[in-house]
Formats: sequence, C-alpha cells, structure tokens
Amino acid sequence: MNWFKNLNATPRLMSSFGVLLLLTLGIGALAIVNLGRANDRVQELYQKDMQGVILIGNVASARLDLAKQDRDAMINVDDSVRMNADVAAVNADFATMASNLQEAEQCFDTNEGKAMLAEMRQTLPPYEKAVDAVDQATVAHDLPRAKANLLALTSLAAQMNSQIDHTLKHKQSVAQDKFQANSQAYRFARLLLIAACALSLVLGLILSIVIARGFALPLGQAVAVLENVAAGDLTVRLDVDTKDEVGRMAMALNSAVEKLNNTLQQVADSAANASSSSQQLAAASQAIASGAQEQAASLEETSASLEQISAAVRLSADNARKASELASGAHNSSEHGHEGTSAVAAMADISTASAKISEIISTVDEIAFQTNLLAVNAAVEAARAGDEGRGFAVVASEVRILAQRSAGSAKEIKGLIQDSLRKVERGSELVNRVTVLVGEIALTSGEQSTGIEQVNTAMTQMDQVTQSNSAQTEELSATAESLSEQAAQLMELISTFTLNQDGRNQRERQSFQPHVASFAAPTQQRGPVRTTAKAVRGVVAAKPEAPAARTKRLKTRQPALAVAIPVGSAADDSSFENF
Amino acid sequence: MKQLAEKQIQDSQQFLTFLLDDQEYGLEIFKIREIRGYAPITPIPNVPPHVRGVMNLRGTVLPVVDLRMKFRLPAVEYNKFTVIVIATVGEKTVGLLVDAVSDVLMVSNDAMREAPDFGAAVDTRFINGVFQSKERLTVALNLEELLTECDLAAAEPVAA
Repeated sequence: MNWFKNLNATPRLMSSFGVLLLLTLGIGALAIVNLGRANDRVQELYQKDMQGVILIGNVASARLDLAKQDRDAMINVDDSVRMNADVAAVNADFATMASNLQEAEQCFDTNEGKAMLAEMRQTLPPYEKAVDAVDQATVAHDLPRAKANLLALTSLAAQMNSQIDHTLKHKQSVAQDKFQANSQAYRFARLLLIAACALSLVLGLILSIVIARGFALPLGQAVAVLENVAAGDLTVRLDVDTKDEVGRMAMALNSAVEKLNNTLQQVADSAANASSSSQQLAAASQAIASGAQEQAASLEETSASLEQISAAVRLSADNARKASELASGAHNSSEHGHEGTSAVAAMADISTASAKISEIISTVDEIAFQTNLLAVNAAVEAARAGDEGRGFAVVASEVRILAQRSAGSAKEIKGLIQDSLRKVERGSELVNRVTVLVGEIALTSGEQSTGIEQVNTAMTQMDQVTQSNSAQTEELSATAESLSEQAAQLMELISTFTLNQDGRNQRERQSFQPHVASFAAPTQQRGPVRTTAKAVRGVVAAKPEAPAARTKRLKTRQPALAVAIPVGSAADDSSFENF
Repeated sequence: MKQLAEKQIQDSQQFLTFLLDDQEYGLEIFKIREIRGYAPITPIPNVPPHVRGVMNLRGTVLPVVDLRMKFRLPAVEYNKFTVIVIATVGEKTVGLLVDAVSDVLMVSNDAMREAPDFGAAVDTRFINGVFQSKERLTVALNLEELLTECDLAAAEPVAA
C-alpha cells in the first residue's frame, strides 16, 4: 500500500472517492437493472397474466351472462322485447367472448396456454351454435326445443366452463410461477445489493480510515511536534515514511525544527563564548587593576628614592661649586687672613717671575752667542793671519771657552727654570684638572638634577597613566559585567528550550551560571580580585568534570560545580600569577 | 792674503764647521770672511728659491743663500740664533744661512777621507771630502761647485 501512501492528497482522495463512486455506480446500476427486471416481470404479470385472467374472466362472465341471458330469454319468451334483448345480449356476450379470446391471444405465450386458448376457440363456435339453436328455438317460441337444446349444450357449456377454468387456473399457476420467480429474483437482487452495499460500506470505511489516518495521523503528529516545539522541546522529530504532501510537510517541519535547534545551539555556544570572554575580560581587568596598584606603589617607592637621590645630587653639586670657587680663588677665606692665597694666583706669580728670569737668561744666552760668534770670527781672522795671529787665536779660543761656559750656565739655569716651570705647570695642570673635574662634577650634578627632574616628570605622568588605567579598568570591569549579564540572560532564554543532546552546551551552561555575581567592585581591593580569578580558574579546571552531568536536562540548572568555586580563603598568589 | 793661505796648506787645513740640520759641514777657513748673527734679508724677485735675497753688510750688498734649501733639507724657522756665514766664492762674496757654527778645526790631510756617495742630500761634486771630528763625520764642502753662476748672478761682483 506504499504506493498509495506515497500519492499526493488530491490523487489519493480522488482515487478513493472514485472507487467509492464506482461502487455506488455499480450498486446503482445493479439496483436499476434489477428494478427494471422486476418492473418487467410485474409488467408481464399485469399485461399478460392479469390481463389474461381478466380477459378469460370476461369470457367466463360473458359465458355466464349469456347462459343467464339464454335462460332469461326462455323465461321472457312471452315478453318479446326482453326476449330479444336477452338474445341480443347473448350474441353480445358471444361477441365479447370472441373478442376477449382474441385479445387474450397475446396474453398467452406458453404453448400450453396457447393450446388452451385454441381449445376454447375451438369450443366456442359449436357452443355458440348450440346456444344459438336454443335462442332460435326460444325466439320461435319453441320452448321444449329450446329446453332440449339447452340440455344438449350442457356438456358443451361444461366443456367451455372447464376450459375456461383450466385456462384460468393455468394462468393463475403461470402467474404464481412468475410471481415466485420474481420473488426469487427479488431476493437474489436484494442479497446482491446488500452485499454490494456492505462491500462498498466496508471499502468506504477502509478507505476513509486509511485516508483519514493518512492525513489525520501525520497532522496529529505534526501538531504534537509543533506543540512540543512551542513548549520549548526542540529534540522532537516527525517520522517521515511517505512522499506525499504530508511526508514533505513532515520533512519540512523536521528541517525547520532542526534548523531552529541548530541555530539556538549556536546561539547558546556564542552566548557561552561571550560569557567566557567576559570572564576573561573581567579577569584581565582585575589583573590590570592590581598591576596598576602595584605600579602605583612602586611609583611611590621610586619617588621616595628619587627624592633621596635628588638631595644627594644637590649636596654634591653644592660641594663641587665650593671646590670650584676654591680652585678659582673666588672664595674669600677669612681664616687665612690674607688675600691671593689661591693656587692659581700663586702659580701665576711663579710664572711671571719665571718669565722674567727666562728673559734675563735669554739675554745672557744671546750675549754668549754673540760672544761666540765674535770669538769664531776672531779665530777665523787669526787663522787667516797665520803665524801672527796665533796669539790672537789663543785669546779667541779662550773667549770662546768663556762664551761657551756662560752659554752652558745659561742653559743650566734655563733648564732649572724650565724644570721649575714644568713643575709649576704640572701643579697648575693638576689644579686645572681638578678644577675641570670639579666643573664636570658640577655639570654632571646639574645634569643629574635635570635628569631627576625629568624622571620626576615621567613618574608624575606614569602616576597619571596609572590612575587613568585604574579608571579604565573599572569601566572595563563594568563592561565585562554587563556583557556577562547579557550572556547569562541569553543563556537563560535558550535554556527554556530543550535542544539536542550536546554535552558541551549543557556543561558550559552549567558552568557559567553562578559567575554573574562575581563581578562586583573589581578594583577596590585585591582580595576579591584574586578570589574571583581563582574562582574562574577553578571553573576552568572544573570543565573536564562536567561530562558526568551530560545526561541532565537543561531545566535543572543548579550545577554540581558550586563545589568548585572557592570563595575567599584559599587564594594563593602563584596560581593567580599563572592565570 | 792668498799667498798666505797657500802657505798654510802644508799637511793640514783649518776648517770652520757649522751645523745644518744636525749635520756638520766644514768650510776652508780662508774662504770665510766673517760670521754674523741673523740679519734682515731683503728678498729679490725672480731668483732661485734657495737664494733668499740680499743683505746689507756694512754697506756691501751680498746675496744670501739658504743652504738648507740648496741641500733640499726641510726648512726651519730662522731666529736670532741663526748664523750667516759670509764666504768668498771666487771673486764674489755670498752669505750662507746655517743653523749654527760649531768650531774652528785643524784637520790634517791624513784625516781627510774621500767622500762616499750620500745620495740625494749632497751631490758628491760639492764635497771635497769628509773628516772625523768629535766622533762625527764632517762634510767638507766645495763652495765653488756648490754655488753656480746663476746662484751668484744676483750678486754684485764685489771685490773682497
């Protein structure tokens, strides 16, 4: 019957109705045919048999009448009028009998009937003749002859009578036979019709049931599924076993519910993700907040250290300045009692004296040189003079020696002076170096001060940044909190639906429920920060435990994970850092 | 004077030694007229570079030759200790810029050695020979070869 079930509604209904119509048609045809037949039989009964009986009855009554009239005529022998009337009546009756017999010809179809009619018709003329003889006798007022003729036709009459009776009886039996045949046929037809009716009834019932079930059942199922879906259960599906419109409707419904299911599942997943993201966001903002706090504390410490450094630098700068003044002689020392005690001034004095001595020495040097020259000149002249110049040469050489001696002494003194100058220079160089170093120290201190100033400024900025970080973190926490709330709302909405069993969905929904409340006051203290972090981490760690809860329906939302959330006490720093 | 000078040439000669870039050179004493300290030199245009100019010696104008430049030695700053040796070359008198004068020496002919090839510093035809003095080799210069005609062209031929 599958092909039937796979028909579309219209063909199916139409074929079913068609079948029923055909059956009805059949029954109708059957009834009509049988009614027609019955009618034919009745017609036959009436036209042939009843008419035949009537006609033969007419013949019988006509015969009786003529017999009566015949006797009346004899009675009314004296009354000619009546007698003639009676005779006429007799003739009339014979005519009637003849005509009726004639008419009855067509009412008798059987050979027997026809034979009887033929017999009657055969009997009639002699009978008529015999009666006529009586009538004639009567008319002739020959009563004894009339009576004798009358008695003579008794057998004929009896014959006529019996023939008529026979015929009537025959007709009657024929009619009866026909009637019985009719009855039988009627019964048979009735049976047939009843059977047909029953068949069509049964068929109709079956078809109607099948069709009704074919539509109503799936519709009912669809209604049930839709009601379930309306109630939130998205796991129900229809069985699809036909390819007709109902089957297609079932498939469409299935796919619609499936899509709904999947979509809601995805929404649930997304909500779960959003929830976890907001968790992470909250945790991160907590981390930032605590980091900012630590940073602020560090900044304070650094600030204090900077203060110290600054004081030390100022001190060293001061000292450097003093040393510099000391080196350059600007410091007027009242303890020593006289002015110009600076190293530079002293060295300047030494330099001046040395310069003067150098001048004198160079003069001496020059003199020695010139003397030498003169001596050489003298030697040259002496050499050119030959013998005469020998004494002169000696003198010249002595002079040269003297000149060399004085040059030598001058050189020595120059050396000594240079030595002392060098020493002075070294001293002044050292002092200069010291001054330079002190100057550098002063400069460096200045730079250090500037640097410290800059560091201060930077720290102030960092402080501001830290504060703004804190503010931002608070906002971030608030945002994360609102996000989490919304995600939780979403999850609640979705949890009113029963979705296809997916452990992940269930588990996550169970996990993230309680954490909506943990976002209060994120930047106030460190304690809640850490516990929340630990809580979240506890949840993260507890995820693998949840598969056991997979079989739970979503409606029961109080999870077993309440155990996994340590509130307050056991917050250890290392875990927080790792998180 | 010349006769006297020839008379002197027996087995020794007298040299005036002077210093030039830490190298001792010697000149025959008879060639030397005078030794002076540094005096202002007037530059003359269009002369070889080692001719520094002319100077006034008690009315006489002589050319001054920078021996450093002549010997292609690095130049030095001339100060008041620079010596000008007034020398006689032939009939011409010329001033020679030297670093300093050292001594008047008597050198025997035995001590005089032949000049080796010094290379670029001094051309060997300028050198009469070398002799040892105070553990230093002194180069005896030949002034005539040293100062060519064109060097002396700037000088007025002045009778000694």
